[in-house]
Amino acid sequence: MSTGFENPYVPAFAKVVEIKDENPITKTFKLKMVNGEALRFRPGQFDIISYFGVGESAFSISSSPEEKDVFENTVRKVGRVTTALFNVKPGDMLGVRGPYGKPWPLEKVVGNDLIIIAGGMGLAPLRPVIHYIAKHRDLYGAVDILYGARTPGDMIYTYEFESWKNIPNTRLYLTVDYVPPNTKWEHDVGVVTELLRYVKPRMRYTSVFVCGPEIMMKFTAQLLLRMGFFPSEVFLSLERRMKCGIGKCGHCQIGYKYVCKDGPVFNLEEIGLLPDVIE
Amino acid sequence: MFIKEDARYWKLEMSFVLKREELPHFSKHIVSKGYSLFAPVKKEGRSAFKKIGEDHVDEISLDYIRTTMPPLKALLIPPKETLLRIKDGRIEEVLPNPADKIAIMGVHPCDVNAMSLLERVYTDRPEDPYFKARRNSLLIIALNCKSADEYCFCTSFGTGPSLDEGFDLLLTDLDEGFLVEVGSRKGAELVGDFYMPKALSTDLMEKDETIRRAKGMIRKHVNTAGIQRIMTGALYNPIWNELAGKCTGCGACNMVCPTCFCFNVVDEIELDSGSVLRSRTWDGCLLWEYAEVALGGNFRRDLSARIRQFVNHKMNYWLNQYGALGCVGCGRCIEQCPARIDITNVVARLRGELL
Repeated sequence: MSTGFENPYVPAFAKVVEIKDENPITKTFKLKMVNGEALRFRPGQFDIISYFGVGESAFSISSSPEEKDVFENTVRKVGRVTTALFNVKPGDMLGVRGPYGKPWPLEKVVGNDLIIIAGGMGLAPLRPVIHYIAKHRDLYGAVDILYGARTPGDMIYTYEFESWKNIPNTRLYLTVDYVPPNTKWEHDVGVVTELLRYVKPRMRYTSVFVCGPEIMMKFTAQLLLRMGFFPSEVFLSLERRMKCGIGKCGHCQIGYKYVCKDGPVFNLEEIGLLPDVIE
Repeated sequence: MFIKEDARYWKLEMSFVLKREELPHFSKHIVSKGYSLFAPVKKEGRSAFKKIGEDHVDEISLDYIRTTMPPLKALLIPPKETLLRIKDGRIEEVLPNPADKIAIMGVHPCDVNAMSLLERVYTDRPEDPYFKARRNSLLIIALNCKSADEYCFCTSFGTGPSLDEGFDLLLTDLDEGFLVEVGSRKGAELVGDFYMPKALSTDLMEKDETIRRAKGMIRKHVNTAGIQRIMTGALYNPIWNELAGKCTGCGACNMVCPTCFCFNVVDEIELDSGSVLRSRTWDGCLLWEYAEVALGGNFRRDLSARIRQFVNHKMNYWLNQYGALGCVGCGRCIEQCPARIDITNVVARLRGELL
């Protein structure tokens, strides 16, 4: 039945065109809308993927915003929906709603140096930022990408690291918590915040984008503030349980903020006084 | 511009008296107009809203203080509601039929005001088409309160015991019958072809007196002056830990609250058709799973954080989010709490009014 206005709960169909194995528990799905339209998104926004019969989950859109007719979601097998998604084959149909949420403030930070700090799967919402910078390199100053994961095998998008390093005036620093025996690793070992020692930031002209596990963001935010960064220039992308993406189901609330529509990207000034968050 | 005398005149012009013994006939009249009628009936010593068939209009009993279930929330966002049916690569919206007219009779002012609050949430863009469709086909016959019990505290929020707007018809229980006031064109149409004598100004005076008496019975109170500053200042007060020692985390407060709007979404396979049904069910912030994420993460693992969320959402965050406090003082959460937690006491203690 037609309502005369759009039903925000109805997903559109998307076809799986390619599946990349990032590591044994993480896959990147390349999707194409069946109706031929592009999913116009900005870096940092998320979508909600349906595996019909199992349910919906929210994922960061992880591909380049410049790529118009396809988009990607990187999925780690951690729950019911993601486990179901691991059975999907190229050619299968999924449901997609979105894009939702407030993106990284890429327009606002034009002219600034950027530090991108990611932990584990937290690189997913930042990958579109890196692609955007590569395409619009003259809009930003120096770019430092600091990426940490549990082990070298837990890292994602490793096949793109070389091209990221080749972006002018851009450096990529890697670290892991632990190197399993017989694993080749020529980068740092330790928490991701330790990589900040390689960066010589010009405080007033630097913005920081952070995404990773909540505990990692907590320590990163504390350190950045101690280093002298402005709270208004440190941006985090938060994860919360979400059922609707449109500020109705209530689950993603932090204080009076809805992560789905006021976020997921917040600066530390906004987060400052909210409960149930990095304290 | 109306002058006061004019307003009084028009109020009288659109007010009627429904004799007590005429209530069943009037109810039948509503049903005959094509409405599904919901009204309170007595059931095992409690009152509950029920769909009233033409032959059961005698069961309607408007003499009640509070139902356990919030009637308008349960009508507009049913506890379980199918949103979509998916089959063979096609998605069908399972929307309420706009031709299904619903009338609800006997809802108290707090519940009508709670519905106005739900409206702010669900018609905030993007609008929720399910809520919107039901709201559009709903006719509200509200009922001013003539009494209150030890759980009521609507006067703290101006959400009762009487109603000024948000109704199609408004009843007040008077000595000889019900005063019927018209609040909308839909309401006027309904009384248009059902004979009722016009109300007299003495009836309006009796109404005022009834409400005054009801007000006098209300014992509980929340002081809302500067409440947001007080609640935010108390986010790290030890009271939340203390309450966590009593609270069972059952979520009854969420379920009976007429302004609690959270829902969960679940997919099920309909066995006979093989279709996927995507439904939503009521959810509540007191429940453990509410803020759970992948890998066992939970942003409100501690019960203290969940109680703090419940109380602060009503008494603090709502104001930022929707421009009004999210409590109407219906008293259900207090009455239903197995741990006897009383939100009015929590606020009073945080204000230092109760030690």
